[in-house]
Amino acid sequence: MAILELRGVGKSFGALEVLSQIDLDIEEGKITSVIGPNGAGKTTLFNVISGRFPVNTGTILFKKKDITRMPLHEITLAGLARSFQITNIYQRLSVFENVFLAVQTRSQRRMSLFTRSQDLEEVKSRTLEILDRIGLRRWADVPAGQISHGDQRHLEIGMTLATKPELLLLDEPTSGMSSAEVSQTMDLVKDLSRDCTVLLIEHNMDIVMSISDHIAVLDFGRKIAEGSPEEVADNPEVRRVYLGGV
Amino acid sequence: MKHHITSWILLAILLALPLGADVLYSGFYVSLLTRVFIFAIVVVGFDLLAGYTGMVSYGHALFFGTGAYLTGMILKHWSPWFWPPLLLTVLASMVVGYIVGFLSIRTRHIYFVFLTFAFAQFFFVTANTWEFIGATNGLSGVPKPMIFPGVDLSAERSFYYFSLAVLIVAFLLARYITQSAFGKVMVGIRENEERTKFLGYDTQKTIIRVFVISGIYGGVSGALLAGFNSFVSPNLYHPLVSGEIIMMTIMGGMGTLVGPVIGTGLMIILGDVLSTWLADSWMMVMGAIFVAFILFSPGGVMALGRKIGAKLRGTENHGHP
Amino acid sequence: MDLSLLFQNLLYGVTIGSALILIASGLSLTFGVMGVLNFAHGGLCMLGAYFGYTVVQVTGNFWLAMIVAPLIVAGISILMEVFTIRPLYGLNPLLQLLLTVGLSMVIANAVFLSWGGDSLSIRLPSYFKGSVTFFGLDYPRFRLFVLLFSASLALVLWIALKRTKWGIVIRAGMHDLETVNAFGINIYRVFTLVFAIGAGLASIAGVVIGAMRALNPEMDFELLTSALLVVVIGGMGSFRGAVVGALVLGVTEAFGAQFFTGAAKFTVWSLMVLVLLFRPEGLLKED
Repeated sequence: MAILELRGVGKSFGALEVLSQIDLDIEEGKITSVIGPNGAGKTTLFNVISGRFPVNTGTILFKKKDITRMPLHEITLAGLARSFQITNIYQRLSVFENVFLAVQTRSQRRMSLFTRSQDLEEVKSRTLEILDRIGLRRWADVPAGQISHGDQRHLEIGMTLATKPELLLLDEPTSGMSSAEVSQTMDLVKDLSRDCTVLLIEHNMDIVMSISDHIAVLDFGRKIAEGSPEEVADNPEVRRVYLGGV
Repeated sequence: MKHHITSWILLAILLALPLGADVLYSGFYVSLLTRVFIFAIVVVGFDLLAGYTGMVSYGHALFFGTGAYLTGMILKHWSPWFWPPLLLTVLASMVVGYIVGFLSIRTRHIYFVFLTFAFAQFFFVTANTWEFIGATNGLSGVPKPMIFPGVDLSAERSFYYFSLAVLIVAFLLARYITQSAFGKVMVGIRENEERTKFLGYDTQKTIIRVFVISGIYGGVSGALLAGFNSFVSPNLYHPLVSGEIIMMTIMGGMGTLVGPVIGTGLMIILGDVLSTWLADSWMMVMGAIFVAFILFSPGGVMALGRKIGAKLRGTENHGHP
Repeated sequence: MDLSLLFQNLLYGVTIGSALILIASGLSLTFGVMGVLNFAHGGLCMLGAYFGYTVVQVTGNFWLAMIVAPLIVAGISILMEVFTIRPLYGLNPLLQLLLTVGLSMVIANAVFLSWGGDSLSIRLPSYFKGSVTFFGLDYPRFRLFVLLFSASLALVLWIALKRTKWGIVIRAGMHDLETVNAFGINIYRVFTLVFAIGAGLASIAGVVIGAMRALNPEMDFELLTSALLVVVIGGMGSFRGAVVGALVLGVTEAFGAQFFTGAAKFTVWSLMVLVLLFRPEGLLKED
């Protein structure tokens, strides 16, 4: 079943057309990667799907529901979450607080004026669970801005996970990481994909080839190829775009 | 634990203070502190909006003045019972807060400052030209309000205790809000609004709610002032008042609730001391002190206190904002 | 309504407007280049008026006042910028705004202490008294002078911004500070220059406005709010916008003083609210 369907999606910034005529289906339960040269429109695609920017043309269906014009926060509540290319967390709050706020959003009393946050036991315990899962339990009380870059990216993934997504958009989760951190992250992603569908933007080709079930290739805002890792690797168009010929 | 003892001691002092008035020391201190209590209420409400949610408004005087005028008119023309105008003030503040808030949240930062400034100016111009409420002369002859049959607030002491009681309730309520789940979302908006949206929170709705709540605090504060001064001036809507509210919050320490109360006390009491010693130049000194705070301790008195406390304990606070 | 009265008010409105351009452009430049919204701007303008008054009192020479007052105020503004505003660059702009609020309190009180609370007026040379008649219209001589002088100065400013080297640097700074820095131009000097120019212009405007009306220690507030209105309605950082905004405001004020004061003010603030809500970049696009 396609958990996400894009039909004729286009996005322009003024005269600059960044995405055009994107048709894409994301299979539920699989890991799909979106690749392409810099400026191909990958992050814009994520922005448009997650509701950060409105589309100019086309529709986006999530679990068969039209989310094209849905407000950003409602999209998250519907089960679609994303992480950012440039780490987007609460720098001054502690690691614990960061995850806590993310977990709280799934609680019934998430915006309650009357419930003290310290009484939200389920939220507290789930926060600790997630901290364990992403390996940041020992940094719980440290301000998030002070942990290592790699840990910050894990924190963001953890926060995204906390919102109980069915579809997870990860924008270059390994950017800026050492190779040890990269393989750690990839194990995390594989682990996550057991619970939800993952849509990934990645530049690291080794990862993309080894981890993806399906790959879509963008160039200049258009989808130029799609298929399994082997199919995409053999595709002459893809080769041209990445290697400039041969 | 240390904090709790200090609070109880402070409370005891405040409760006992009027008893010695006119006997051991001037009764003036009672009315001075009453002013502090009244202003502290609007400032606490403002801290919820600006300190905790990060939305600094330059028009908070509009709630203050509206509460004062509404209560003043009702007390003067209808009945001296305090509870009806207080209740109406709360309702009016909610309505005004919702409308102004709804419009203002389309903007942020400097534009939010401008817009709230402009909205307050609406009220200022109206108050200065509407004959019905006194125009530039203001509303005079507001009687002292009654709170129970036969118990009115004409005695300085009564108003003192009543305002203190309202402040304590207002403060505890505000603290409860900041500790609630909602309070966490407020802080999330201040720290990183986009991230908060992406976690699934409706930030616009949250901000309006905070705006309305802080508006209620402003209205109640104004209502008390009307009863206390027996007079309502259109200058309650002046941007200087909005500015003072911001100054008291910052000098005390934004986002701490306690800080702004201290800041209010500091500014009003210091203002009084300065104006006695320095007559005409107290505003300059006050301005200079404020500038000094911004340059050297933008976290206000609370931040200063923390730094001093850390030095005394021999540890430095590393990496705390 | 008498047609000549209508024209007189219109002319007065344009006169006020042209003085407002001088005040508003300082505010707009400071905000556009430095990101600082200077709430002490009205105070600087007022200082110009009061220093102008003193120079006239001491020397009897109005022209000397027009030169000395802006120089003094520009000097004061440089001290202000270097010692209190510069330490805050890069920090929360609201802190910078609030700093200027504190400074405005200091300035206003200082004026009160130095010159007293009474209303003062600047003695004009005799050739400015009386009115000029043209097209069957009477218009006070001095107001005509203010109109021509302010408009010319505004034009000079516009040309300076468009053609001279510093003007281009300043305009570039409004768009992209990093690049200006990359060209090896000392950003802090640019900031100080912009601030001083803004203060200088505002103080000249202060002198002429003060001479048209009276001086009082509360005038800084009105001057600031007028400048804010012009800048928001016209658009931050747009010179043409400042011109349009200033004219709109000037004319509204002129008519408002004669006819419906309250309604005039209400209209102006409503306009500001509408602009902020629906077209925050101002009525005109950026220059």
